[in-house]
Amino acid sequence: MFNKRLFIFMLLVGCAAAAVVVRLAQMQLVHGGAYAHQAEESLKVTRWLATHRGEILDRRGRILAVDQPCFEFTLRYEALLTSWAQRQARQLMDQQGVSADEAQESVGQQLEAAQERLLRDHWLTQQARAIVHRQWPELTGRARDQRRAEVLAGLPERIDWTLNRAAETVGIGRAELDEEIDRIVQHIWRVRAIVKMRVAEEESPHGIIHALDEVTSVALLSQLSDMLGADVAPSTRRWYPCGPTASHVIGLMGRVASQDVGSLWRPPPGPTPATRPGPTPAVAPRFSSAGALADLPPETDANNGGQAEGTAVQAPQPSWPSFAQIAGFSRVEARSENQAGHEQDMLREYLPDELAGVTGIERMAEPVLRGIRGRQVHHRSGALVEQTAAVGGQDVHVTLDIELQQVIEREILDGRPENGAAVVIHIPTGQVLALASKPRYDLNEYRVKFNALVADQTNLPLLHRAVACSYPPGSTVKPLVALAAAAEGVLTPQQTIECRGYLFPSSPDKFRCWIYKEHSGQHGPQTMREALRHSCNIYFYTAGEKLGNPALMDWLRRFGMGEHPGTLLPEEKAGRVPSGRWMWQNQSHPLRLEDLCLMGIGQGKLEATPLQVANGMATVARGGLYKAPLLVLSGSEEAMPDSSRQRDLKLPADAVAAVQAGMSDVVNHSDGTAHNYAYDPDLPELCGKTGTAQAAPRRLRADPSRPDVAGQVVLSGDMAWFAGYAPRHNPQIAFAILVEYVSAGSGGSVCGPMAKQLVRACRDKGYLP
Amino acid sequence: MPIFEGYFRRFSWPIALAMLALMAIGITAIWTVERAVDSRDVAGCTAKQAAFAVVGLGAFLGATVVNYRRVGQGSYALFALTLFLLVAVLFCPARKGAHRWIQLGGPVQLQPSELAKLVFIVALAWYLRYRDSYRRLGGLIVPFAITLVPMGLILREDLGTSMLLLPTLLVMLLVAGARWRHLLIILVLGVVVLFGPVPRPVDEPLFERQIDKYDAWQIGPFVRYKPREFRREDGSIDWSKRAVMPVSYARCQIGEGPIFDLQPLSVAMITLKGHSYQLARVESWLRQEDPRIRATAGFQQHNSMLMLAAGRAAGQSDRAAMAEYLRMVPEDHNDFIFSVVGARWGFAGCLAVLVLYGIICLFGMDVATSTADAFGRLLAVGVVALLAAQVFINVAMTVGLMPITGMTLPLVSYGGSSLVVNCLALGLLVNVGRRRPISLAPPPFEFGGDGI
Repeated sequence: MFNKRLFIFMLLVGCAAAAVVVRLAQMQLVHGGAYAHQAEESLKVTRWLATHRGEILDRRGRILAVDQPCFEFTLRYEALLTSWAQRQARQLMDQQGVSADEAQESVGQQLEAAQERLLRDHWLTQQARAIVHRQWPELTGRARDQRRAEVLAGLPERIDWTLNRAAETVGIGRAELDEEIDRIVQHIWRVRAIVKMRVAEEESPHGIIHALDEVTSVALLSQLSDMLGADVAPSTRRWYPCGPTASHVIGLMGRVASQDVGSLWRPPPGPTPATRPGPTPAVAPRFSSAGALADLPPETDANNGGQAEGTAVQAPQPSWPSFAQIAGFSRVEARSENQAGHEQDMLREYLPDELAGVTGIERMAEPVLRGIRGRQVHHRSGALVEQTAAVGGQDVHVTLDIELQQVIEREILDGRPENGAAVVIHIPTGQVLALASKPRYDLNEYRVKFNALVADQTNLPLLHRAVACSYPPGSTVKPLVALAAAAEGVLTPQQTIECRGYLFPSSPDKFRCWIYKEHSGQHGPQTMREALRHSCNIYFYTAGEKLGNPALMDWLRRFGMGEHPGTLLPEEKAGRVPSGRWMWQNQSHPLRLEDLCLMGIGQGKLEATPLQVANGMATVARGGLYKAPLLVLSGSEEAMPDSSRQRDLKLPADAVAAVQAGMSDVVNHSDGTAHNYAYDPDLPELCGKTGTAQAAPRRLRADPSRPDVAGQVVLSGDMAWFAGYAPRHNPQIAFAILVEYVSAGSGGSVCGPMAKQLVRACRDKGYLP
Repeated sequence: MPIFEGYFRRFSWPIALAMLALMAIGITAIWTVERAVDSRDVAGCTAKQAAFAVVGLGAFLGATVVNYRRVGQGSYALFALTLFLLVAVLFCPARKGAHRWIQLGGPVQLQPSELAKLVFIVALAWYLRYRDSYRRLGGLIVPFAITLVPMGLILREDLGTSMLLLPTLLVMLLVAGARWRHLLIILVLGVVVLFGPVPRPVDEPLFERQIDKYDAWQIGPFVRYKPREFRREDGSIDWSKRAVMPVSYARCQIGEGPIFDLQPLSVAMITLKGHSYQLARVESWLRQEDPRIRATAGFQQHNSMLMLAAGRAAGQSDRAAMAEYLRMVPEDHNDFIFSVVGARWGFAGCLAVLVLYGIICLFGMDVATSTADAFGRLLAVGVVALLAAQVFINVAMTVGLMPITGMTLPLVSYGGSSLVVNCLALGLLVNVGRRRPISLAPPPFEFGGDGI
């Protein structure tokens, strides 16, 4: 029985052996090639090659933003990890001051875990070997091993020394460096926890000190041989030669938002984006139906109304196609249809921590500016297996004249203590020549001053006031209302309206004219031209009332109020032309007659951005031809031909003549509201309209949902406007100037002199005869 | 000379030679690793292993010389001593996260669990000889006690070694003539403990959130949730989208009742203690295809398989690539030495190693059949069973047929205790063979009449 049972046991062993041999044969003989290929693949390391971001240039080719070569100090991931683990352990020791032994033990565990990971990385041991190799000849046998172990144990101190040395050379604090290291390590660990895989970043060096100049980098290079895992690599930084000029328009770069990581911009299938034919269908209908827009406002308006005073920064809500759409780019989550496409996607998709445009043109033209990075596949032994070169991004030309912009910012806006904005539009083409906002910030120092900039809730320096902030336009809307009334036939240019100083004889304390308020006077009977010259409120109350709902709203929209101007800037706001529905939703009452009256003088719930006001003036100057303002030259012109960007409002010629004469009188007639401030016989004939709009004060810590929480008033006063165009005949430029929260003075007295300066600047730069 | 004449009488040369060959292969493989990897773990291992081999050879010779029945006589005392060591090791400081080694002064360490394997065989063989009590169910209590007590002590720190004892016990009971139905009962019990399905409640809010990652199959009131296979456009499975289930047979629901996982009993027991690395190994073995697993918990096994298979028929010819592969697998000089053999010498090398083990087994069984002494017979079978089980488990985990259990490849893997104990065991085997009768007539009239 024993032998038979032993035989059974032998059979069992034989079966097990057979199973193992079959498996071995299957792995090594049948699928050996596939396994070997897979093993080979697992030895490859991919490294990205940085691309070159396109430049931003002004209309004369002057550089506004450029990638500038610089250097960065990099450290191997293993070294970063070592430094991090060491600091963690030390921190633990500091915090657990209870028992030295206990602390020691937990620190030991922490370090052990970290070290085990580190030992798995043979890089560190290679480093140790390299160091020992220098003393190799003197050492023998056991001494070599011992020395190697010693060096390996001493590596953390060496990395620490490396970091101290680098910080000292560059002149930054070690704490700053540690912060950056923590950020990188923690980020990689977070990604690892999500993808549950070893990530490529663990194989590569990471930049920890960025934007080094040549002198510093040479100083670092000379010390590299003593450092561990460190390198000085060429890199680029975004450089803005104009500093604070046009900072809001050019915009900022920042780390890509976490939800955008992995997405990419896919280019149009055609050869180049610039030659893409035709506008996207969304453009044309919007314009052709603009006149027919009934009481229903675009949805964006309702959203705008919820914001207190419209000064808070909002997410862009483009009713226009975005720049990307015009250029033919589409944003997709990187998913492959085939292998080749997938590899292309990998080169385009956003990696964590990558820089991307966040605001302004940097954001708007991101798909075009952004290039395609290259790829290098190395074998672990160091041999180069495969390489794809990086493709640089395309340049973007904007319509701004950076010198004009600079003059306007430094000499005109900075001449007043208050904040403000100014816009200049080239009338024949609709191109924006200047788009200034005050206060500004220096793009090159943005990172350093970030905290201060964000903390300033009173002045909101990051807010782009020219396009992203809507204000009551005040009297600057009066020319538009006059033209609307004439076009609708409710008023003729010659028709007079009697101004007694107030609108309703029964209640002289309401709906008063400014002349009654200030001097208890009256204007008497006013024609259209006179009403504009005197900025008579009674005339335009009446005009608003006579136009009624929805004609007044329709006409204001036709002049570009309440819709996105179409510069394609992500910050761009639509302003607000309130509708009946909006009034119900936000004011809990219908659109009343008095609301219409107030809107006739640009008050009430009507709000517009300085860009919209300036473009309204341009429309008046063209005699009723509306053109969407244009900010980017390359790409958009071809994609959106003029026909899709303009509409003829078909205004009666006599009314246009009367309004233009009235606006000329404002400056050039001795009775004009701006004559004392803006008239200069040496300059081209200036036409304009003053405006002094009442606005709610800016409050801090106000809660829009709770009327009882009023907040602290930090800024109060009127919004002073001056908008117009020049010269009177064959007009070239239209402009709008806004000064916020003026405590004393009116639109004429505050902005009139600024308008004079602006016209002079435009003449100096050759935009006016 | 008469002494040597007596010594070499019936000496099983093939066993000794196969043992030497395996030790040589082991040292060469460790040298390969040491040369390529160059880490603190591996530095100096070849020299140490060579020293262990010398000690092992001494132990082997010593074990062939003593009277093995004397060893048997002292087996209970040895067993008690081993148990003491197994308890003592729990109070020693941990290394590599486990209490497995006793520091014996200087660089010498003892791994009592390795010693326990051998002592257990000797004690069991000593207990089972000249008895037939184990042919009754009640008589199985003592053999099981001899197995389960050391097993329980090792279980926590060294799952692999402890799991080795049960199959060895079964084989020894089998050849000692235990009744088939008893063995079957034990086997069934073992299978139930290992694989018996038990329900375990599911974290329902979490499941609700991921419900779109599952397909539901309904048969009457019985619903089964199966992780959906997301496929890419080229037909390959998109593992990153697939839900990760705990180790279980199925996720079920009966009617509107609670959702539960049907888990193997052993897994449920391990899970009760919290998520352990052993469970992670089982999980990573079951989901070998998943790249997420390959990169984390399963990377050791996956990389060892890659390295072994990339050796193909005759071994890796590219030395630089070989070195890189060796760096990919931690512990490859130790538990994963077989994949080093596979990588360096290919299928031929693997086969050679297996054939060498086969030689030891065959000649070990020859020793067992030709020995008249009951204790000697059981001892020989026990040694062979232990060796075969170790080899099978180690190789199976290296080629991905089993989860990683932390088992050395006897005589080849790096490790002093393991090497010396295995040499001792083989020495005892040769010893038994040396003392069998010179001319042994086959047992008369045993032609298989009494059944098996």
